[in-house]
Parts: sequence; C-alpha cells; structure tokens
Amino acid sequence: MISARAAMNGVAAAGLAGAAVLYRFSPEEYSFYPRCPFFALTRHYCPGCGATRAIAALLHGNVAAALHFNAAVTLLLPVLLWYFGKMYWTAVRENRVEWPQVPQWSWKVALACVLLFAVARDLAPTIS
Amino acid sequence: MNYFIKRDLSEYGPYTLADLQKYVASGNILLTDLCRSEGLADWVPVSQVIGNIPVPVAAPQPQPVAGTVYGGPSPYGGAPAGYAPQAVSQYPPPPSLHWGIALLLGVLTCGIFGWVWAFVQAAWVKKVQPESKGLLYYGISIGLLMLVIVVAFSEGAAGRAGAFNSPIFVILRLGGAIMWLVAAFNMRTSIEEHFNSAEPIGLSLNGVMTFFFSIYYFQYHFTRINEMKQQMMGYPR
Repeated sequence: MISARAAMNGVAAAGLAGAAVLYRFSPEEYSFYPRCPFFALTRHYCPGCGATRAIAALLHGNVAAALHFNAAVTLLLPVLLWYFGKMYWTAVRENRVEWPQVPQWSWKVALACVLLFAVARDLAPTIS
Repeated sequence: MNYFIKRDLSEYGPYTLADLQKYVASGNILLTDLCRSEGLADWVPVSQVIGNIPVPVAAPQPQPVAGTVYGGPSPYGGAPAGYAPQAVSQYPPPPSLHWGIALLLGVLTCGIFGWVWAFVQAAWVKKVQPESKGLLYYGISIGLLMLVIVVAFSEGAAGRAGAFNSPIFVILRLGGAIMWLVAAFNMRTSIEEHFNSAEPIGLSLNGVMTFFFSIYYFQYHFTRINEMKQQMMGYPR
C-alpha cells in the first residue's frame, strides 16, 4: 500500500513535469494535449476551455495572454495552488491525505463567478 | 425509562437503558457526557446515571483512528440512533472532498476531474459493496466518450468537422451517456444498500438528482455523512 506522502510526492512530481511540458511545448503549436470533452461532445465552450493555453502563457509570464485564454482559471489559479499546496504540506508532514476545509461562502462565490463567466463567454465569444 | 444525551450544544436520544449501556461500553457515549431522564429537566454526567448500571464489557475509550464509531440522531430519516462499532470499523470513510470543491474542480477542468472522481467514488463503493458494478460501467462509459473525442478531433484535424454529427458519432455519444446513467444508478443502488445495512443511517438517494448530477450528488451525501461522523464522535477527517 503506497503511503500518503509518497502518493502526494508523485502527484506533485507529475504536476511539475506537466508544467515543464507546457512551458516547452506550447499548446498553440502542439496538438497532443487532451481536448475538452464538453466541447467535443457539445461544440460549446465550458468554463475550463482555454485553461491549458492560459497556464502555458502564465508559465512564460504573459498574464495578459493568460487572461485572454481563460480569465476564470487565471484568476483562480493562486487559490487552487494554495489549496493543493496545503494538501501536499499536510501529506508530507503528517503522512495523510486531507482535503483542506474552506469557508462555505468561498466555493459558492467561486462557482457562481465561474459559471457566469462560462455563460457570458458562450453568449459573447469576444469575452476571454 | 428513556434517556437523552447532551454533548456540547447537541442533544441525542432518546435511548433505552440497554442502549445507554451498549454505547457507553462501545465508547459512543462518554461518561463525561451529560444525561437526563425523560420527563426531568436536570442534566447530570452520564457517570452518575450509569454508576449503578453494570456495563457489559470493559468500556474502551474512543481512539483517534479511522473507524471510530459514531452515534446519535441522523439527518437521514428513519435512521437508528447509532452504529454498531464492529460494523463501522470495517469500512473506510467515503471520499471526503467537499462536494462544492468537487463541482468547482469539475467545471474548471472541462469535466475531466468529474470523470476521475467518478472512479474514486466507484473504487470506494467497490471496497464497501464488492458486488457493485459501478467501476466497470463508468469504465465502459468513459471509454466510449473518449473514443468519440479522439475521433472527433482527428476528423476535425482532417477538415471533416461535419462528420461530428454522423450517425456513428451520435450512437457512440448516446451509448456513452446511457452507460454513464447505468453506472450512476448502479452506484445509487450500492450506496443505498451500504448505508441501509452495513452502516445503517437510512440513506435514500433521489432518482432525479442521480440522473442529472450523479457524482456531485453522491459527493454531497458523502460530505454530509463525513460531517455527521465528525460532529457525532470527533471522527477523524
């Protein structure tokens, strides 16, 4: 049975490797990246569409381009990094996996903003 | 005579004398909890009430490890007041990610996180209900949908985007969606079975909610069940 610490180290290593691939191979030039299942099935943008390109742009320090590709993911990324960073830190220190608790309002506000963003982008494609 | 138990601001019960003995013996009720008899207003420590009642076995104190039992009233209708300790300790707790966070991660990852989480839930259900077929059905469903996605993009790359609406695509998409629903309802049956037999809390899952929200609806109940465990007996997260 793999320990929580080893599992989270594996996930962190995979995340870093993914970031390195994104940094080296731009999603705008290479087509091997996973595609959005929602878009493939419905031909509509989902809230996460453009996230891969946004993260790649952020890795190159281009915040404006990241906001253009997916503003919701770009703005929420620091929160997500904090969330998973805290989870990783708990696993490393205490050898257990714990999903961090967050205030009720926080995920509700984030979810509402993301859904509004998705609807607005689908209705007005000029919105990033 | 029945008894009520009070811990912090929560009240539990009524319990019969036999229940009280059983839960003190199992550690569900602590001797430091407050207790009052039905019809009386005064709360006294359980130790005073149970002082002259023989406890059937040596009372182990709750241990801060996974599998600690929990008791008390349940938010789910028709639930018995407590779990048999030997039953609960056999089962791992359900996946503990808050359902709101799961939903947020799902929408931010184009639904891919939802597919992964479906397998996490199905793997847990398989552990507690080995006859469950949820894992297999989710695998078939996602396999079919992946096939659609791969072919859709290869057709698109080849400049034949119109092929997306061809009959074979429609059949594959329909097949994937149907298998997803079959998996979700199989999961619903297994989850209900588990939480009405091995861990009896009287859980009932709504068919309409299962149809539209499946994994996030299940996760909503898992979140509540985990919170209930934590509140009742300081169940570890």
